[in-house]
Amino acid sequence: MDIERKLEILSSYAKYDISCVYSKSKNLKIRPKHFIYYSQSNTGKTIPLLKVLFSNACIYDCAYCINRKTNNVPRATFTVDELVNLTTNFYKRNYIKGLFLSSAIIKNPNFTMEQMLKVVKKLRIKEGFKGYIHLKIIPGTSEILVKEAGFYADRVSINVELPTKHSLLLLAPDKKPESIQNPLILSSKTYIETIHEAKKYKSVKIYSPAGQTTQIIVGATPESDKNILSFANKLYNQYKLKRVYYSAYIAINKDKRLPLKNEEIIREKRLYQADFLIREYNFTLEELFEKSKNLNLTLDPKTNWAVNHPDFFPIDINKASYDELLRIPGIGIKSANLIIKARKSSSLSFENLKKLGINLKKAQYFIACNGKKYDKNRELTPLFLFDFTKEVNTVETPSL
Amino acid sequence: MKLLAYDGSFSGFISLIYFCITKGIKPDYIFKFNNLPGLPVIKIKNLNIPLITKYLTSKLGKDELQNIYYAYLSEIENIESFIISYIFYRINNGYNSKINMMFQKIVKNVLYEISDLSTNLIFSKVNNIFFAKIKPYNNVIFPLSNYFSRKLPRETWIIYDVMRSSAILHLNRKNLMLNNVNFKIETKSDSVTHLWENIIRGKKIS
Repeated sequence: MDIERKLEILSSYAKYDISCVYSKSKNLKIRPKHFIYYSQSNTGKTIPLLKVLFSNACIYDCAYCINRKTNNVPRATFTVDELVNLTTNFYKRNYIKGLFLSSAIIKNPNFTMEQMLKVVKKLRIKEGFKGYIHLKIIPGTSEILVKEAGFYADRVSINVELPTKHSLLLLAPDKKPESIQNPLILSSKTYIETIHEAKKYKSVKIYSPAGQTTQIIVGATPESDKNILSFANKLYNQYKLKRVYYSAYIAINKDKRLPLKNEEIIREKRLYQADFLIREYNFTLEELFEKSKNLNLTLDPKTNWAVNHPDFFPIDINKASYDELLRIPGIGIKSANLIIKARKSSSLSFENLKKLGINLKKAQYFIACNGKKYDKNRELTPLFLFDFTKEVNTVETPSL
Repeated sequence: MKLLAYDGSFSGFISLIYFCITKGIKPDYIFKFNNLPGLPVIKIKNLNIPLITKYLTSKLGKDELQNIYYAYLSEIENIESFIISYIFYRINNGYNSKINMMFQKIVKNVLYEISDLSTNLIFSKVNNIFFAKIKPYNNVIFPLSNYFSRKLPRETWIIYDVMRSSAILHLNRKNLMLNNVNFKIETKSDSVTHLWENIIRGKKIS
């Protein structure tokens, strides 16, 4: 099989392993077709990565996966040299800035991980590849390989796939919960250890310096949004993961254990929004799920909370604390900081807020400036007022 | 009317800034040596650059000096005297929102172009040399070449600025500036370009 056909197969089957798609596509029903994964850096820059599988010839039979062994799909596996050459050639032409490498499980987890590590090592050592590398750790990989992976890749991730043990055993019977948990524990431990050591000694290389991530399939099993987010919370707090990605279930396979329809992408979006509220805006899980175990799909979680708490609003922009400002729909971290900085010199009016670039479209219903609520009609009053009704009344009706 | 001139390089401009600060001169127009008018002009020679840089860093801060460099790259007409008037505001702790906003806008514009080109510039391989042609609005070839010399240190590459007929050649881990060049290179699509266009850009994948 030539490299073109291999690339065609292995990049097309990598497309199901996609997350964060909602941010790129305005139409929530459309998923992107191309296989350049746009990763977001800490500085907000987007980094185009070549997203490809090392192989799709899998020995496992996970119900939700396109590459499961019982599926009749074309199979391909790169050789180490093929993938290294392909990546360096694309990188040198500036098509990509890095590699996002995942794989189906060939022979056994350790063999697969060894092959992927060979690619990464060759890129870094022989080719002097300075781009970004995101490497997926295969469940069930030995400790030595897990440890090695993080010192060559910028980010490692292990897909936990499903939020409960029961769901995992049901849909991915070949993947034992321990085979996911153990590498996850080891990589997060090593990450924390190396960070502490690097503070003492400058020469210490940080394990997976861009942190670790994981991915959860949403909608393949009946877990509620609350269950999913509380599971994600555990991953953030205990395992110190950088991000948890949610991936709306795509109905590729016909299987009794699976739903017939795709999960709505809007659910994925709402989960990301709630995830951000918990991590960055000091919301608690209980606050977001006071009335239901699932998120409201028509309203974003912050607006939904605001609508359900009319007693909390309106908030006076000139008196509110930072945390209170963050509760206002339409005001994010950047806007809250701007308000706090600007109100030090003088009290703010709605005009001032507009000049600061604060989006009042949503916020107007929940805020007040010096005790006054936003009056849209007052601002739109024209300079010259003509009372047409008077004129009409004074016109005499012609006599017949 | 105060008219000054410098050699056209950033080092020369730094010397000119130092001269203006120490003498308290706010020039109305600044010329380059290759573009002198038939009027009396004070010509500024290059001084001790490391010392001046140290002096300006202490006065303005490292970030501000970097922003001055980016604003300088915009090559807007008489940008030099605008930068100097901005520096005077900064040194005297004054704040002029109009000048400040304009300065920030110019810097942002240049930084955006650097970021955009660093992502979207495409090299094609011609006789084992990676060649890229750009048409930037600002003179961003230097920061771009710095970026690519970090990204592709081992490779030999040329970035050619069509607008300014200048190029940077990266050879043996060193960047060489080529002025007044006119490359007429026809880039052909090779197997890698073919793979990229056909497979990755989504033409074949359903």
